[in-house]
Amino acid sequence: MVTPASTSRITTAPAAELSGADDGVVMQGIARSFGDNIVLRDVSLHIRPGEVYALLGENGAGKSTLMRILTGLLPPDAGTITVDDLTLDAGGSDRIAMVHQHFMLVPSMTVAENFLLGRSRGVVGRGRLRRTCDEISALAAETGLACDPSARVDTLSVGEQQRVEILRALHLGARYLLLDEPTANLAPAEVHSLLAQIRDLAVERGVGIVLITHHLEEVLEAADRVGVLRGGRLVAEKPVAEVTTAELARDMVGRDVGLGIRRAAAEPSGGRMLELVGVSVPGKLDEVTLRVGAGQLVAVAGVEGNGQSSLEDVLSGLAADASGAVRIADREVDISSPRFLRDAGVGIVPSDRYTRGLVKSLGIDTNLAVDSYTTPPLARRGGRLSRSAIRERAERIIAALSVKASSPRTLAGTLSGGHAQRVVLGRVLDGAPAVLVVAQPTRGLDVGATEFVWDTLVEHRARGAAILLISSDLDEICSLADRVVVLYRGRIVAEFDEGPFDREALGSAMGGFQEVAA
Amino acid sequence: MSTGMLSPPVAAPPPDPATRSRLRSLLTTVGIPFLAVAVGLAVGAVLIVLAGGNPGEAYATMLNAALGGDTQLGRLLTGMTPLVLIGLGYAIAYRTGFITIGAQGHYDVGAITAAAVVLSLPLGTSWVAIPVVAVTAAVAGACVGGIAGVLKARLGVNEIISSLMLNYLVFYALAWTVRKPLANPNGFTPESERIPDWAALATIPGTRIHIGVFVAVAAVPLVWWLMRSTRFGFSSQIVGESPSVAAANGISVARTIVTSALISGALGGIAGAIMLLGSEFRLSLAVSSGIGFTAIVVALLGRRNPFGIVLAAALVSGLTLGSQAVQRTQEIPASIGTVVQAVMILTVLLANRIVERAR
Amino acid sequence: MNWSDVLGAGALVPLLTAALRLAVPIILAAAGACLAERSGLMNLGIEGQMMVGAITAFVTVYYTGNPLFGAVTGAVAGLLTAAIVGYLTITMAVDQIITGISVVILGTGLASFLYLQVFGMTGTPPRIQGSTPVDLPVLSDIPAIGQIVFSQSPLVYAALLLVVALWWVLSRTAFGLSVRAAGESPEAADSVGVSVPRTRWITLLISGATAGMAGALVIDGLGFFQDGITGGRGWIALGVVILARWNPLGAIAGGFMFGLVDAFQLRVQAASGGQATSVPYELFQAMPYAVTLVAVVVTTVGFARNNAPKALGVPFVPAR
Repeated sequence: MVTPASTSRITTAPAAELSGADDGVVMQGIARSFGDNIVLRDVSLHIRPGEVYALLGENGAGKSTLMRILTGLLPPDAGTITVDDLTLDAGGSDRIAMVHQHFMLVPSMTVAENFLLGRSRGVVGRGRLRRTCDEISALAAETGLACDPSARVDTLSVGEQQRVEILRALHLGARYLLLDEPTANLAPAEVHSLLAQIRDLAVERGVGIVLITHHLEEVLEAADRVGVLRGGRLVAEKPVAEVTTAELARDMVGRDVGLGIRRAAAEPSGGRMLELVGVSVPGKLDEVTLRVGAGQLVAVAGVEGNGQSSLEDVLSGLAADASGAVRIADREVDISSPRFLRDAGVGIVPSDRYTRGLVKSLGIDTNLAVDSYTTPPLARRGGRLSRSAIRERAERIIAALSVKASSPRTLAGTLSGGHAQRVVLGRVLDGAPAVLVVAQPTRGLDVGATEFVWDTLVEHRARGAAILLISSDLDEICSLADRVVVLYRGRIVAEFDEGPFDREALGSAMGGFQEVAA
Repeated sequence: MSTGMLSPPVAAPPPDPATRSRLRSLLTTVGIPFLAVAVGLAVGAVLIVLAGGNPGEAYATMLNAALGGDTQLGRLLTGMTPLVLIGLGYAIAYRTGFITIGAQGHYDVGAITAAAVVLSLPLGTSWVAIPVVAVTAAVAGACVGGIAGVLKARLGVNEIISSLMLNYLVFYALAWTVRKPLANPNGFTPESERIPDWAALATIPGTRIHIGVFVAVAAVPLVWWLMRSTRFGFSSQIVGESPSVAAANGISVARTIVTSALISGALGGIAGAIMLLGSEFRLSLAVSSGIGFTAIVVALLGRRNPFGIVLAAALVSGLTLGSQAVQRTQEIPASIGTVVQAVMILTVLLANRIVERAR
Repeated sequence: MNWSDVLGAGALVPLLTAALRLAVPIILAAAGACLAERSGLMNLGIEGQMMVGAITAFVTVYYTGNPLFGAVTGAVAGLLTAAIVGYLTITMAVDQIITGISVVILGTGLASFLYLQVFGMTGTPPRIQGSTPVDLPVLSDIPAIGQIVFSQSPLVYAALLLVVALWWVLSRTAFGLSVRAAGESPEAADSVGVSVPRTRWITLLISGATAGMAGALVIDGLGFFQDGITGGRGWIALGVVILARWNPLGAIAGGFMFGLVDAFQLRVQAASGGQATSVPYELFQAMPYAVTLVAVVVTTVGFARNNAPKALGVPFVPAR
């Protein structure tokens, strides 16, 4: 275990004085396999203090394994790592801290308690807690990362929790921070603010930062250098000043990716296939009114936490206290149960794949039958079920969407995120719904899987489906939508009637800043 | 010259992955219970030695008591009957994620109902009595099971604690029943009068096996069919594995759980009624004998599969009969049988897990 | 039957004294279970650990005459039985509920076996002398409370002190922080270097020890042993955990409620002298269980659904 020479607080000396020629985290020739699966091949990286290094890579490229090696959770099969000229031991170094995408804070405990967790011994009474609060406040003031140490973590906003995580890492003496998708759940305004704080930490305090992200603009905004991992190799490493997002996307995927291309409907039609009128959910949604025509894709843009999940609940038939009307093809639909909505022709791809979409411990065939086992051909008279019909349906859908599975009985939990999403899509689309509601459909998916989902949506739009896309991903929205409405604090605060859409204006609206309507 | 020389042996091609995994699953389905029995008997042997007995003799006696002759087999089958029914009930409930230890209460209430019906209603013939008892006992058991089911499904109350408390409540109801309303004025211990002859279950000619056995026999394929080929069986699985996915697809989690609790209670009630009319013939406190936990043993050893449950019921019933025999003849405590059962489940749990991890 | 014999002014203090004495085994077992459940581990084997603790204590006291030794050996026996639960549920991440139930079966069988091994099957049932109450100086002179709380046996004092100690550990120590974190977000705890398995092992062993000691207390109060002597107290303790909302101090109130009902029904039976009463005495015998059931329902509906540790019952496999 490397023990920092200084105490647990970062010194305030400017970066230049701290770094020597060999300072930094130096990885040489790192390799790692799991059985036959080679995850990392000969990766050499140098993270300097006071620098922001962006690390790009698709899911499965090896990023998380690399991070686990850096934090000492995993030993490399080959290669060396030194931290400030000291070899990295098993168990990691106190100087490297990782801030995970899913926060590692205990929600029911206060900030101070979270700081003390795992870092204290013996009695932790009122006095100790108060002293810790004072330390935290002092550090917060110094670094500009505001936080209330006596607050319970579950009362803090996502951005505030983020700050707590960073503060905790710094408090423990970290000189190098690994930030895993830190902007994942932030509003565009908060994103800018966080990126600025990150740069500040690097430049002013000499912290070396690895920024793991798949948002290419963030790389350009905040990083000094960028490295791209693909297939376990570092395929590119360039100063940010010299790259374009197109290059980076190509490096990540290995081929040209049509990410930026707009895929609007050839002839956007009007009409009202899906209509929401004054839909409200106490405390979550306020008089949401919107309409989607056949052959049209309308995106509901917004940062998660502004009512999206509530909107999704309403259209899933799971919002018990919703009021207002939902109409399909001008006929009002009973939204009190998922069955009514499905019967009315609404198909939904839930944002939470494994909570609402798939049962991991059951086979693909069972999962594909979950929404339709009460009707023929899966159902037979007298409460019976046709297993052969279930199997046929599974085989058909697996083939139609090229799901990578050895048999229909393969457990859904063994599928990758992208293929799991194909199963969900396949199930929904098999009913040829007139209205498709998709919520965060590409969350957690890599570029290839994302492309597939987008292509599928576009294809169904061309067939006349009315699609409502609930998303926080600006790329996705700008690429697919015919019209965009912005959801903020449960209300539609802006509408953009035709593309191409002004990302700045979109971002502002998502963050609650009203502007003259585009 | 190569004539007369054998060509070098060619290694057999490795089995393809599909066959390999099928072999593996066969190994676990059959191998693990076997392992469990082996470990259980080994531990039992140790305890027998501690008790001053001879494992060989003891196990021989046990085997004899279970399979030694026609009467023994008869007793084995009658002993298996309630275990099969209750084990099936447990499996059905567990499928929806509802873990009930209420089998004792369902069983007791079924026995009470059966006794009450035949002792107070002048039904006169078995042809009338059996259906009436079956229905009332099933309903009574379902009510008790349903209480725990509703408490869990609608109020989120932990079903283990609630079903256990209900067991005690039913037990005291049983205690009162044999002391007061149905009491036998001539008996020494609290017990009811003997059921009238017409109410007793007929036996298979030439044996002492009552026809209740056929109920268990019929229940097995019925339950297998229920789990595999009905909508209820399908939705139970979804509810048990992921209530959120079930709800998102319009499946009523509460209704599924309660239904499974009702079915499981009904099966337990029927089991109790069968035992009363088939072998006990008299309601007493001895009826209530810890069968609830035994059901869990049976269900787990049988891997919650209806046919496996039959085999496991045979094993456990044999073990129970054997332990009683060994206690009678060789003064070795019958509780060894209980310990062996527990060791068997623990082995199954451990072995399952090890196999899972090796995957 | 004369109701004033049970509830009259003169009878109230003895009633409450008996209530506390009867409650303590449940309070102790529940407090230990609170600790384990707070760390995310459901120790459903408590009833079995209590049985094993009871027989061990019984044998110890029978041969040594010292109830304190009995409590200690009972605790050790309970702890060893809990270790079986621990190996399966923590080290091997097996389902906690089935493991617990299996250990109950195991513990009950072992206790029965041990009893017959030591004392044989015939003859008059052996008895032991329970511990004698000790009046604490000064404190026991306080009217009413003095007699109820401060004139109990040393085992009762030890048990109550233990419960308070458990509360203190949970809420005022670094270990307590780890326990709470392990139960609410094991991944978060693991990420800061808290060993969730080790934390759960410790709380589980404590829970087993308290359950075993509770069994010893039951024996101490009754003076004899038979199958099922613990009468479901282990399960009731688990219910009390819910009533207490997972706080060891709350277990005192919850367990006391059970003890009160138990003492009440015993007195009713004694006062009626076995004669026929208008209300069947089985109703009173059933009361403690009915009350527990109702209390658990009420608490669950009212509070407990939000208070249970979020990772309770979920096996945790550490990242490394």
